[in-house]
Amino acid sequence: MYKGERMVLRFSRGQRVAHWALAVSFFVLLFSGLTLMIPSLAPLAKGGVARMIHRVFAVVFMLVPVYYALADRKGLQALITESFRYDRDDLLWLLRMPRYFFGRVKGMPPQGRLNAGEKIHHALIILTFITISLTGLVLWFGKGNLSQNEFLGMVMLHDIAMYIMVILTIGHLYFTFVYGALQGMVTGYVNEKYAALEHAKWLASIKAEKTADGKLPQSKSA
Amino acid sequence: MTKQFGFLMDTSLCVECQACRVACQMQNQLPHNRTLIRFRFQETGSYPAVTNHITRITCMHCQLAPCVKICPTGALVKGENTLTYLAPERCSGCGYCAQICPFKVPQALDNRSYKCMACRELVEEGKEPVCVSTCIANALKFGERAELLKSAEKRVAALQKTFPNAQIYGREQMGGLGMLLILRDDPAVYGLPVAPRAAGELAFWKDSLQPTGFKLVGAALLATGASYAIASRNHRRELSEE
Repeated sequence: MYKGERMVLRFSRGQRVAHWALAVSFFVLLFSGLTLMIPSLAPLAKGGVARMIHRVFAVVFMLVPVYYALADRKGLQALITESFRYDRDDLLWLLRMPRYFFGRVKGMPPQGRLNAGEKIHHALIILTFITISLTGLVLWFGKGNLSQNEFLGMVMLHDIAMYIMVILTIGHLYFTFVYGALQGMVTGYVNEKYAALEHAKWLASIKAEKTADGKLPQSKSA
Repeated sequence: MTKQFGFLMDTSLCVECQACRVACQMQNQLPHNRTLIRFRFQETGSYPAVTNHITRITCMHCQLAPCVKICPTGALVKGENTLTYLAPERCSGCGYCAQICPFKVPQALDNRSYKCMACRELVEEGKEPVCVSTCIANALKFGERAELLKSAEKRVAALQKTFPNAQIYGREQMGGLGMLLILRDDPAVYGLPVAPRAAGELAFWKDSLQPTGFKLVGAALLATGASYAIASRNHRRELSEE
């Protein structure tokens, strides 16, 4: 898609490891959990195998923010603050979101390292992550000792968080493949032309760093 | 629909021998520390006027069984005779039945659920469940629920001469229980819920929330699947315009 351009670092190693650990554990949790929701998958849940897998990967899933904090504390802080802070361009971007949905990035307001859609995605993932983790822990450690209402409240919240996460993931995969963004999360580097098109304000801030100390530290040649 | 079958336990006749429990363990090949029949004992009054109340903690075979509704693997099913059967080989041990049962009967242990299996093979051959055929005190009966209710009414009328609070438990609870109990006193004395219920949220969860969630996920897949070709073509066109 983009050829012969210089590359800029968008995702640190810690961010990429955290992303993929979360992604893999999420899908394992999803499919092991679906054995209790889709009757034709029920035989896979027999004897508690799916539950064992679900619990092992729940631990991996919940340790991702811990890993992220240890590997890249500033990255985690930036992720959280950026995800909940929206400027005027972000709001305009959201208004024009239908254009972006259909593959038109030109004419969209300039964006920072995260576009407004990614911010909403991250913000909802953070909220549902907390919900699904806490309700999951209650269901795990409270098993057999919850009242009817406590139990139903927990499973319903766990379910709702799951549906939101699945829908967000579908959207996330859609935009990844429409805009060819997979490589950025694999190597950490994005094409400078891509950055100019999709994250103009972020690219400008990196360029400003460059003029301050004479070189562009986050870049390499493609 | 075939007739409703059920059990009748006359708690005033039970001699606490626990032969039913042992017979059940043998029938279902359970280890000594796993049982589908537990007991609750309660003494009321003070010496010398003491009454000992006993009841079994065992599946009540609710007509409207929340365990059957909640079971995600189909291990819990209603038989045509309205008894609640458990197929352990289909059970995942999730413990949802233990959480939802208003009588706190099923136990989730060893990655499966433990609850009365109503001696399915015997019953379908026209025989009695082993707890009933074993009972030395004739405290347990098995048969058509309507017949059991009739005989329970007679027995309660007789008991009421000595125990004015004597009553049948299970006539209406949970749509009518398949395990009818003759009690000498109020249900609360026996530790039984007077008005057991399945939380309404159960039906909301299974009948509304889950289907809606699946529909929304399906809609998201459709919307992205249908737009993908257009969106990626638009994007490639914008890139080549440079």
